[in-house]
Amino acid sequence: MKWVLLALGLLAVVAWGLPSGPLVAVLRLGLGLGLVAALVGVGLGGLLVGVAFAFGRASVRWFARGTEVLLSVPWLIFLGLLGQGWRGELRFFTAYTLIWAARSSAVLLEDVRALEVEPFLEGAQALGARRITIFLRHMGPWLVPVAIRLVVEGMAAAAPLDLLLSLAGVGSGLQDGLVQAAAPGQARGDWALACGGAAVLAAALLALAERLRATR
Amino acid sequence: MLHDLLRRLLWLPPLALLVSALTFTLVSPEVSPTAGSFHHLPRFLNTDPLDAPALARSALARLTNGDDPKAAASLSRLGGATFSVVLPSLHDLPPAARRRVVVALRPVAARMGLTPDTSSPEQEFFWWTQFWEDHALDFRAPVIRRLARRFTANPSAIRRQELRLLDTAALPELFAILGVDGPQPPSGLAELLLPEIQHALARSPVAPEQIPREVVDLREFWFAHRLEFSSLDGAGRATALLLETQYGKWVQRTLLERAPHASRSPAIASSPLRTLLRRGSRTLARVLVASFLAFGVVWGFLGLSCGARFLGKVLAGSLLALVPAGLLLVPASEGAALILLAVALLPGAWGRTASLWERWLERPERLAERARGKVSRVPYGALPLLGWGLVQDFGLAFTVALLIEGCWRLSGLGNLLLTALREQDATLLMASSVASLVVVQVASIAAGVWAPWRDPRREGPP
Repeated sequence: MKWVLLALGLLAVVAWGLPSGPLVAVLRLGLGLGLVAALVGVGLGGLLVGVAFAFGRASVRWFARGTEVLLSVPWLIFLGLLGQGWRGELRFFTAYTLIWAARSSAVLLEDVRALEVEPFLEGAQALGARRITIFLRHMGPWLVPVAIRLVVEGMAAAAPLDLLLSLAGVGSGLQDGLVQAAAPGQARGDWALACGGAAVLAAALLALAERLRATR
Repeated sequence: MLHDLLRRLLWLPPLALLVSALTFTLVSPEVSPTAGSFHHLPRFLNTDPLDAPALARSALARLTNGDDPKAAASLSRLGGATFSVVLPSLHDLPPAARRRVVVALRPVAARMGLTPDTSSPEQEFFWWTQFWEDHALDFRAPVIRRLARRFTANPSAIRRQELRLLDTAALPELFAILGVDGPQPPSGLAELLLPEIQHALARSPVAPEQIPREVVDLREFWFAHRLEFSSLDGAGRATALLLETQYGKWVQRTLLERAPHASRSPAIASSPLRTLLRRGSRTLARVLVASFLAFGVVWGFLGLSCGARFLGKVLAGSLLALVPAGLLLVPASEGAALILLAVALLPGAWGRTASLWERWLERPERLAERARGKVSRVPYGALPLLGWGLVQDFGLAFTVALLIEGCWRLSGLGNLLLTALREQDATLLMASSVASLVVVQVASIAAGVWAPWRDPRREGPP
């Protein structure tokens, strides 16, 4: 696992150092911004879910409603309006992190609420275990695979989402070269290369996530 | 169950306000046309709503302290609406301040068609004192109302002159007769009242063919600046705390459909809420059909072997990356838009459905059933999964749908919302957030009602 993360990190560092190109932009977004934003977002979401769970069922219910409300705002509005005046990459990173934190919270909460009724957790509670202990010791192993999947999904979705936003004129700016190539009459080779590369990258990451889930 | 349902439905209006406030916070006040037209108002809370008397007192105080061109201009602009405060106070002012005030009132007198004695400031002061002694009763609300109605019913030169003598004090009644929102007034009424309103506001007259546009502009002006020409009473002062703000004006404009919409987007002729309902229904239909497609594909895979499920999961996740290329390489069509949208939703649908399905299969009861060969290959609990999926992925689905519509110029909200985003049209952005919230909450409530019975992770009703 640590070697995989190290390799991904190295790849991201190399991608930020390389001259611009369609695949490099995808790597920068997916492995750079996407990975960090998804990691921070999932971490933040997990932390908030843990805190909500520790305070009891009522706080879990309130927190679930809160995440629902945040997720109901179209992402486009967050991605387009948050952090105006900042650098494109920072703006995208901030908005994407918040979105992913809300999404992770919602998914993790759904699992937490389903796990709460499992007999072994009710048993732990009956034996007087503290809620935060139950969350960390008994729910944690169930939630880690879900968190891994969320991180990978976050990485995989970053590049295509930003490309779509760039086409609409509100992207991070890292893929502006590709947007210029979208003009009528331009060759579409770069697009096929970038999107194909992103798809292969996403498939590899998802396969990796599934392997990690299986060996948790 | 009913208690929970009612509670969630009752929470919907405050949540809608919360979401709209969140969106409004994100919109830049320097760029937004909504914030621009209410630029003089605070954003969320008006702790000191300034009505005509308050503005007059403020201007008098500044003119008492010294020569202040802005205060003088304010007094000239507010005109007759401030007389009930300004003219009785003239006696109490020091001579220098009194001179500055009467000089500031000269344009008002010119608008009213009067010629005060300007030979000396003292003479001018006496002239205004005399004017107030003679006409104080004319500036009371019932008198103004009666005069405005009589002028509308039977216009004459004398009544016009009486109305002009009231200057801006007559504006609330004139706008009440003209109508502050809704359809255009009858042309005869607009032609009769518009010159009086323009005269009081020192606006240039317009050609007859421009009257409808002028009505819209004046209504917009009145919607934003009504308070400056009116007096607040107790209840009005309390509501002004929230309503006389940029956000409060938006709520009145969008939700209550007060005043014509002044969006920069030329496509919006009617209210933003109606526009959203008309155009958004198409986008929403696309999102729903694509969600069914995505979940249908996933359910089709669930019955397959473990290896096929693994392959399906990996492929579903990677397909999202191909959506931008599909946008560029595939010819625009309704079917292609649905497929691209479904492809974008596949990873989320797969992650959620497959993990729930696997967990359900792992339950001892299911394992026992499988051992007896009785397990169903069709995953039940379809509707709550779709409901939850819609709740959790609606933001993504709605965004991708808008982007596809925007790039392919399909009918729907796409172009409109992207333009609104670029131009920071707060009204439309906030209305779309609220509409989105309502859709998500309805889906969530429906899923919440259904899920306890059909959630594959649970056995039977709670």
